[in-house]
Amino acid sequence: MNQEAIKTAIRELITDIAEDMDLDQAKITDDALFIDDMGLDSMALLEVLATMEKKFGISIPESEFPNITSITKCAVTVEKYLAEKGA
Amino acid sequence: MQRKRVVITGLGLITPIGCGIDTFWKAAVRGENGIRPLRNFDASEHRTKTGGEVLDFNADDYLSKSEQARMGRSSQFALAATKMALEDARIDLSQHDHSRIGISMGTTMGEPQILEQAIKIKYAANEAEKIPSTLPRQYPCASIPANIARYFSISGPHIMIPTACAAGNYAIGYAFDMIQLGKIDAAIAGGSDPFSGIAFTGFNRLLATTPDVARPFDKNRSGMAVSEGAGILFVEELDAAQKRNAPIYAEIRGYGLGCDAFKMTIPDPSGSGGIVALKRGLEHAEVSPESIDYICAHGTGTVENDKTETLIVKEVMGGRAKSISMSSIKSMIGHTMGAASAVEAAACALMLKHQIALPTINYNEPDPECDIDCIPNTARPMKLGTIISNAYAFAGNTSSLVLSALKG
Amino acid sequence: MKRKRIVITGIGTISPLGNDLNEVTASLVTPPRQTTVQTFPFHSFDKPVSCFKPASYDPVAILGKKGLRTKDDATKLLLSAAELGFKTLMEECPEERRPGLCIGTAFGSVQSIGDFLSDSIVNGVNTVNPQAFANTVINAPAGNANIRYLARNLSSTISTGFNSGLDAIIYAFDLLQRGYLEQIIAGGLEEISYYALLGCMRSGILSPTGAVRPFADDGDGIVMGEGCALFLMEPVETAQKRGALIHAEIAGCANGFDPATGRGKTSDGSAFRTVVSAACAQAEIDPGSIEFVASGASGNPAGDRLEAAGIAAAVGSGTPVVAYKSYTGECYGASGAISVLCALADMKKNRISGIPAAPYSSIGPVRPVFGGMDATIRHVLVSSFSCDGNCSAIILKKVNE
Repeated sequence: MNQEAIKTAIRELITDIAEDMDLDQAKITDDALFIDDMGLDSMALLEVLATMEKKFGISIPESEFPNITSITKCAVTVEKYLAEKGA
Repeated sequence: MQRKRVVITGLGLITPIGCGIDTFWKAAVRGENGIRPLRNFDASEHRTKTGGEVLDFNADDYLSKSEQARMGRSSQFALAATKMALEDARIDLSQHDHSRIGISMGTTMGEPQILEQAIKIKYAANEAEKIPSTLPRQYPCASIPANIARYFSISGPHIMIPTACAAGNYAIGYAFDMIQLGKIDAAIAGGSDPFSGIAFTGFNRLLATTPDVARPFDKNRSGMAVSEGAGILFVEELDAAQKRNAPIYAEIRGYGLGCDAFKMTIPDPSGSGGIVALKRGLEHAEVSPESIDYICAHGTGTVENDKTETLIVKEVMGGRAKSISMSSIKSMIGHTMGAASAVEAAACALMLKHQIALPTINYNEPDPECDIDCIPNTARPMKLGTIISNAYAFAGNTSSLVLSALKG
Repeated sequence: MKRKRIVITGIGTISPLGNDLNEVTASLVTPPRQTTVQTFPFHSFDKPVSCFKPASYDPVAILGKKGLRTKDDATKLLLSAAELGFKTLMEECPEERRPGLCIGTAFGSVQSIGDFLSDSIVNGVNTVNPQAFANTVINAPAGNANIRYLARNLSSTISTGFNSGLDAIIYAFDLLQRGYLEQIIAGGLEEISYYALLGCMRSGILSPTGAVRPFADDGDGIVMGEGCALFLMEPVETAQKRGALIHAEIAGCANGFDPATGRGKTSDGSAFRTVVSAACAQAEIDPGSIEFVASGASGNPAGDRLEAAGIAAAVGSGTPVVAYKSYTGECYGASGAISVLCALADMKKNRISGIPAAPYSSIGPVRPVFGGMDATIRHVLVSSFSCDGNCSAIILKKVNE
């Protein structure tokens, strides 16, 4: 799976969450920060983490949590653990 | 008209540091840790492997086999604790009008192990017909007070208030209300929750569980510990208690409820609901912040709760906040969910009786955001006149219960 | 301390009978039809199961899309009923005086609880969505409503099985007596769930034929329904001061428990009689002045027998008895509140809406009403004596406007 496909999946989830929280969807870009730029909360981030694990069949350790800050960073993290899984 | 005074005359306790009043109290004064690697629950797949299990509970000590077969672990806990409380109160129920005794219980999950059992049977056998026909009726949380009522033939006002982790305070508060309203003379009030796979999995998924032990108010606190237990109080009108020369632990002065109305799973960082509850508790009890000697904290050991609770106490107590002793017994027994505030109320009753405040164990490094006197690691003999017990919950429920040593 | 007179001044509902008092009044003349359910997220039944659901109900149309993504059916039912009944009231009331909430429900969302478990069994404990965990506490629906309306004054949940809705009203009545707050929105809520249906099937109380026949001597069980009914409760002085429309007074209420139930013992009905007597004493009326009883009979013969005997013991066997569950099915925690709603509708119309079926042979000793009849209504006893042993009674009194 390439990074663009991963990003698309994450973007779809973020859009759903943003719509549900009534956030400005124009602020959703690949490099915008989830909390500071988009206004997501910590529960939403936990859901992003959980959804990535489920969707991509990977296990992301808790220590990565601080790195889950944007769509791009998410995709990088997913790729890393997909590679580990494949190895 | 003079308000009726309501006192606590009996206690029942089921906790991970022991069942029974004396066992619990001695362990708590010693500062025993009840959070251990899980033995009865299979946590091999979970990120956290520890929790609080009640290991010395033997249902045979309290109930016949056929009685046990009719109810879940939560009801068994509640019944055992009720037996203890009635015995402790030296009450002979046969001398009382059973329609004038109330039952007011709280819980978070009710009987989750029954549902867990049923769903596992369905998946294992791939057919629902294998679920025993007697199982479904044991699931509703209403079965907990119902089992108590049936066992002791109590027909008075009867309620279950499942307001999650603050449920014990809600239940005790309502028992107090019913006595003051003249609906009942006495009540069995408290909370019960068995170890729940749903709660354990859920708190794990929220990254809210500690990997080892609970360290409330410590700078390096790492989360809460999912646990189980029950706490029951026998409460009655002061006059009646004195007339029968009952042992009196404490007087219930009043309580306050509120709600964060913020998020389902995290407290409002401004402490809105907790402030409402604490202010109302003091107001209803007609006591001033200056007269409070001790606070039994909700103190779960999560970063958010302990920081917010400190803020709440500072907001309401003002300059006195730093000098008030405020400990979390969840450092020892973990978070017993719907039983938590009932166990804490029972612990408060014991603290008032013995004039000893229980410690917050596992405390090493002060956190500037939790700058209260948490009675670190060692129990403290001190003058305890009027004290408070806080309890907060999922969905934003907040509560503060005010208790006093009995005066004159 | 003088007892406060508590009145009902607002209604919010989503039910098989409709979504406001007018629709409910009409449905008591033209009863709603049953529907069926079969498939749920993790499980399904071999064949469709009869049930009653709200007929025209679209939560998104009522609530908008925002905030609903992770909410379950129970929460949506409650939010929708609250939105239709009390949105304006909530918005216009200053935050510090906003009504508290007290919701009766037997299961909260057992669909969410069971699905959370099923998901963790099927897909592993490390893949379940943490957002779904928030729905597993029994007080989740109430908490969600407090959040939606920034209602910080009270969030209580009451769970006493079939009696939850009545007991939530009784609890709210008591808190208003204490003067803790000025107004409480109280009532009952229940969703139809796979797990509750399965539980009823396994314990043999679900009707295999899908026929609701309260008090029938050949009743074969319950048909499940879902819905929510909420009432704004406040002291009469407060209501009059703000010029509110008063639907009725809750003149008296009480609850208790019959310990003889569930143990193969025979109930003598005394616990239920004590409860009804307490409610009548509070209402300062003789049981003989009750024009009709809105019972909790559901078609489950074990429960119906208890309640029939209890009613006969409490108010005599001559008083007309109705069973609104013949219109809605067994809505569990919502059913008591829906009964109060139907009783309000009948009281306004001076009518008694009996069982909408051709008369059948009943278990006695009470005589259920079949079809509708006109009568001057001043006092209604809304009761429930469940097969679990819970006894609850509320006396509704007409208030002259």
